[in-house]
Amino acid sequence: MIEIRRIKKAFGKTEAVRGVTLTVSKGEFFGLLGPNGAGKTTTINILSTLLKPDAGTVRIGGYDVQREAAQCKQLIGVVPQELALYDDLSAMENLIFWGRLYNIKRADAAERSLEMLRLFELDHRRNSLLKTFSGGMKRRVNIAAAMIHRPEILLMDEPTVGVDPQSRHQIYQILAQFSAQGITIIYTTHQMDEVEKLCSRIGIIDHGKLIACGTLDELRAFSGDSQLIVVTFENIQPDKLEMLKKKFSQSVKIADDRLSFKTENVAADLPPLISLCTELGLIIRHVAIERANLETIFLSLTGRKLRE
Amino acid sequence: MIKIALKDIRIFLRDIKGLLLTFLLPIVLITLFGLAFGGLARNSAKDRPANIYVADLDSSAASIQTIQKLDSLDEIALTPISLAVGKENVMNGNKLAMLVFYQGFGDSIESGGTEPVELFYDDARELEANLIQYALISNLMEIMGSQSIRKKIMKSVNQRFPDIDSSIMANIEDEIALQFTPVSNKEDTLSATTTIGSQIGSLKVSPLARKKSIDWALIQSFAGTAVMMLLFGVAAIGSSLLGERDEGTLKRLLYAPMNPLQILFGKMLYSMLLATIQLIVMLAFTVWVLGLEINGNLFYVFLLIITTAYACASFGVFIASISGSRKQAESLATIVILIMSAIGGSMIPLFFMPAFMRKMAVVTINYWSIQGFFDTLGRNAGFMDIALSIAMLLLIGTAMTVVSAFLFRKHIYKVA
Repeated sequence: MIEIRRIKKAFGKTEAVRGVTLTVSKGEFFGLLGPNGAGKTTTINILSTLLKPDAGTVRIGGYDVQREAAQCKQLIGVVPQELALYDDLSAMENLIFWGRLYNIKRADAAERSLEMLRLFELDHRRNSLLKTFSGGMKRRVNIAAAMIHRPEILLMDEPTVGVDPQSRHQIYQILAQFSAQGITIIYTTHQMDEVEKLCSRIGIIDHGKLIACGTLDELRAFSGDSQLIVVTFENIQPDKLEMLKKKFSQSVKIADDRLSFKTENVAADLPPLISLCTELGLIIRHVAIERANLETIFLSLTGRKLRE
Repeated sequence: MIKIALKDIRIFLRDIKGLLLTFLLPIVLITLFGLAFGGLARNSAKDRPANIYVADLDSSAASIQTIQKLDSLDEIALTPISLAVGKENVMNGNKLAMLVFYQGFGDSIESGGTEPVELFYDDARELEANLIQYALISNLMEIMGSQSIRKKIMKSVNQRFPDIDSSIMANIEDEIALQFTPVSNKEDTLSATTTIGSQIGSLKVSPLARKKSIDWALIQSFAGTAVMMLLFGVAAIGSSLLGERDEGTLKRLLYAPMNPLQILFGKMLYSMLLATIQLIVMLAFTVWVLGLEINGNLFYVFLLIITTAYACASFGVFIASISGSRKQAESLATIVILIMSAIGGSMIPLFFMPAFMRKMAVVTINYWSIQGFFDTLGRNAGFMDIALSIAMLLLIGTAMTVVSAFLFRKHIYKVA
């Protein structure tokens, strides 16, 4: 359904996307995970035809996003990070307006809007001005507006920012429903729990590069093991940390005052690691043993925490 | 494009404050400017007359009568003086101006020639002198005009038909005199066309239309204020384009399958609709409440309203297109509108301004629109008379639209 080949995009000297290649099949719920500034939004903007890539190609439903933008636009619905709605229009008026932009007849747009508001449990507030809605309610209308023209692909750029847990849970349920209906979803976020819960496949993007892609299990395997020893130091001595890194080769990643060490056998590897730290005069503040999740996978792949 | 314009109108109608500012504020300003320029409450106000010298070198019945009539006006007071002393005093700055009736003034009126009258003024007080000049021209025309024109017509008839019978000539003279008789005496002949073909062959003599009372001050206050307020209004709409960018809705509009320029033109259409309604409301108020009499063709007035609205709408999107942010657009718009209004004749009537300022005014929307409204509302101008104003408004509007379209395309990339 979506084929991205070696796309690149730079803004001045800043390379936002650096050769990303990715394929997303029809009906897939794909999570694009990465820290702020990793290149997620730029990728979504390229997919939504808003930005032209400097290099590479993107095809959506067989159409080239640059040459056949109009056809691509009919296939996709985009949920932007911002609450891109008009506060002085009611929920219903907002949805009808956005629907009409996709050349849906007024009566059909009204019918679909009501349908969407029912789905998001907002039909009782359909005639209220949006400015009277809570943040969570607006987020739901924001998603509904992207679905009003019944797209085959839904591009979601951090759609649950600032949403209360209850609304978030409801959004997850609706998205699962969309996915079950065969809608292809690309979901960008830096919330690992969202991706773990929702996505059938995950791509990890950092510094504009897709550094890993697969199911959660595949990523665990890709990152090399299922456990991680994370040591936080009191006194940071970069030269000594480098010595540690040399000793334990590529299994060790160091970022700031923290060392993460991938292992399949904690019992065997933890004592020598602690001993060596002590020998080097490094004061340990905290040691944690974590099962590989997206956070630890990201940490093991980049040496950084996702939220940094 | 229409969908975007309709959406904006719906939002606008919900904004009570905006509605009041759009319609009420201009009405208040038109009334205030009307009072300030003397277009309203003129008869009841005891204004201080402008005192100038008068030198009567002719001392004929015509010059004495003209001076008496001028002196009896509320706005002018004449002090008799000799030419030399008067000139000296004006040059010394002791008096603003001196009106001189040269020898031969009376004969000239009798013979239908050019009347030798001159106004000397202190060039350091050009603005005040312009005011005096304006008052003198309109009043002198009224006082001397009918007499002079009558004589000119008779002179022309004499020259073209030298052999005409003296009794027929007397008849013609009487007929012409009748057309210039004061209104109260001959209401029934004002709009008639008198044909005396049976007596003088093919000669057809048409009465000159009675000079209607034209309230230039009220036209000035309507046109000047309307265009200025319109510019402020559309600049705010243009800035809302940047507001949409800041709030993310522009991005969402760009996701939709339409040409990005439709967004720009949608905003322009909304601006134009609103500006047109605003102008019509302001004009209706000026006519029905303040008592402006429209002397021109209503269709041309509407044509001018539409072209003014177009030029103003283009200005709004132009300002948005060259600005980086909403705040920048608002500040820039305020500065540009104030400058345009100052030099274009919205704040100060153009005839008050020195010549170089009047030359500068032609680059502004205000100038062409105000000139057009003077022509259509006051002078009963024909299409060719207002064609230049309309063409210039269209030209300015189109030039700004083209630049805006180009810059807007560039700005789309900034959205993401």
